[in-house]
Amino acid sequence: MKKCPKCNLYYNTTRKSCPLCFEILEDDGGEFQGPDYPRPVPQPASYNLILRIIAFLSVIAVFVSVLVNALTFAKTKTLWSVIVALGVGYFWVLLRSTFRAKGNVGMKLVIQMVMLSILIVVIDAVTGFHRWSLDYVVPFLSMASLLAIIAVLLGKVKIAEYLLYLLAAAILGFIPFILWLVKLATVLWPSLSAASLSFATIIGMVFFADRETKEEMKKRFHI
Amino acid sequence: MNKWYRLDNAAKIFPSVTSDKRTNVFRLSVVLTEEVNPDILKEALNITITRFPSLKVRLKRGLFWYYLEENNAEAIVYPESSHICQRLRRKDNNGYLFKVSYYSSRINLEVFHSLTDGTGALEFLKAIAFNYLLLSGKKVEDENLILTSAIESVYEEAQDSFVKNYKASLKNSKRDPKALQFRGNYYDDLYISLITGEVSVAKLKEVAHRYSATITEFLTACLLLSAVSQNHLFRGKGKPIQIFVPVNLRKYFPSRTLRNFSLYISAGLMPGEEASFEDVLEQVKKVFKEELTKEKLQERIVQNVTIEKNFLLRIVPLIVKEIVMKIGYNAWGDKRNTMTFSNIGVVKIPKSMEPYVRKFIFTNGASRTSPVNIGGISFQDKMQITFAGAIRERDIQKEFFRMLSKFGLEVVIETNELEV
Repeated sequence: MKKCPKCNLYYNTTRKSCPLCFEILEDDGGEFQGPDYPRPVPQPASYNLILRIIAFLSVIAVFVSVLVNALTFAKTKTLWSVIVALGVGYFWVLLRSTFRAKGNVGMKLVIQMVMLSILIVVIDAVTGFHRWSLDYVVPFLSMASLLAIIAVLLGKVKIAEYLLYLLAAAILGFIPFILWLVKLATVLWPSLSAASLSFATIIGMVFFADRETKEEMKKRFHI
Repeated sequence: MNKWYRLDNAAKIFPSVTSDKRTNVFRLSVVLTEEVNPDILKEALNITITRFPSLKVRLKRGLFWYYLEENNAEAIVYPESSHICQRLRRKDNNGYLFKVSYYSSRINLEVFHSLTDGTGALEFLKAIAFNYLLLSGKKVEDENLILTSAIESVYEEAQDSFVKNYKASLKNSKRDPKALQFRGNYYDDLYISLITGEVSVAKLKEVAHRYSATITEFLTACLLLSAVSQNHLFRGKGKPIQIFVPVNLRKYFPSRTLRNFSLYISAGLMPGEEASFEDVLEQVKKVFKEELTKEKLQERIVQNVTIEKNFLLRIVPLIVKEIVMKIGYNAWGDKRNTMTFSNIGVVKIPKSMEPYVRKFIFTNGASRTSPVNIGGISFQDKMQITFAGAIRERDIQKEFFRMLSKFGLEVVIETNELEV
């Protein structure tokens, strides 16, 4: 056992100096009683150069666009740099979510639908808001992603993992119709089709769910 | 059909506010007399886990809340890492929210706080150690002190005892004051230093009784006094040093739960005030006496459960809840305490196991926002007081152990590598 004369404390250690006050320890010759602790090994630092270059270029690109847009705004009268910024943002979603091996396909599809919809609505809004995005693109995007999730789901044994996203996509499918109701969209039939598909999906979930799926829904949706 | 559990009231916050820098992981270790055999340990762990269904789970996302779902994967044992109480990632460890590791003769159980508290984890570790010794051919018997498969697992062990003790009639809106926060040099790589002091329980009791205080009260006062003069370790002024002392609610409310069932009480001291040890101890004793009553504790339980019962909050999707909880926790979560001193108390194991067990160590993890925490645990006549530190400065540790020594206690200190 070792002792620190200054602290008046005993140490079971292989150290030469007191870990608290750095005074040299007195040693009465007793053996160190294990176990000690594993020696620290430096943790590998992660530094992805390519990702950092892309991130750097993204920020610079958006900055330059905003700058040029601001300086020439008097002439062009459009906020085109917003499209650039959102486009870069969408690119990052592709990079970090969609193209990754990890993650649920259903989740990726829902994120795609939401991000693409936002991007396209903004492009429409910046270029004069002719409503083509809300009238046609958003409803068809919503139907496409919902059908895609259903297609993925039909091929799987474990459908439980997809239920959450199926329902999310189905609920989001009502949004174009709501936009038509509040007169933001002007053409009815695409929105109504999307809403009908969502309705059918939800009814289908209720009718075709077996006990296991119902149990899964209880877990996933408990409040 | 897989079983599933809602997160208990205390557990609900942790998944949303956990990061590499704030892992919400604590660690219990048992040191045996012989080198640990990893193969036997793994077998023992996988036998033990079947007796603890509420720990045999993985964390899943629902639309409104996280929940725990039965996990049928094999539990893994790891060689101990030099970096303790690191974040338990959901994809690692086959999804389990605990991690069992070994080093020499030591078995460590690191637990994510959503799973259970110190009391629940200790039952689990005792059972692992028991099954390990049994499988290594030792003649050990459970003597009804170990939860073995011979004793049936009951539903109450998975109960949320917070919700069970909720009474809508009780109200309490008291909030703790903001506390002084640490400032220091963090270790690289989220390293955590360990400084463990071993003292005799009998002698500690004798000293504490001299001031008619309990061991926890006595040590809390010592901690407050060791911290109060370390101005350079804190930022801000005009705030008290607050020590959170977790309370095992099973002692106040009948409960068999193996999930979270603890609350903290908070004792404080204002720096700058000239206070003698007796004054500080009296103040601590007063807090303990006032706060540790069944009524007061139940009011606090109700206060916590009321939040969870709010219908509007419940129907908000988890994604939104997480953002709110993150912001709220960053603003208030760690601001009300300077340190936490969690004393698990005396470990009782079967007489037949005692020859094979040297000591238990409890490490209350440290984080960037709460960089110094203290854990206490007693076994036979030895109490192990462990400081976990995310900062390199160790003035509080020095002051504290020197203070114990001045009270005539013989302290034996062990550390992990501190100069990294």
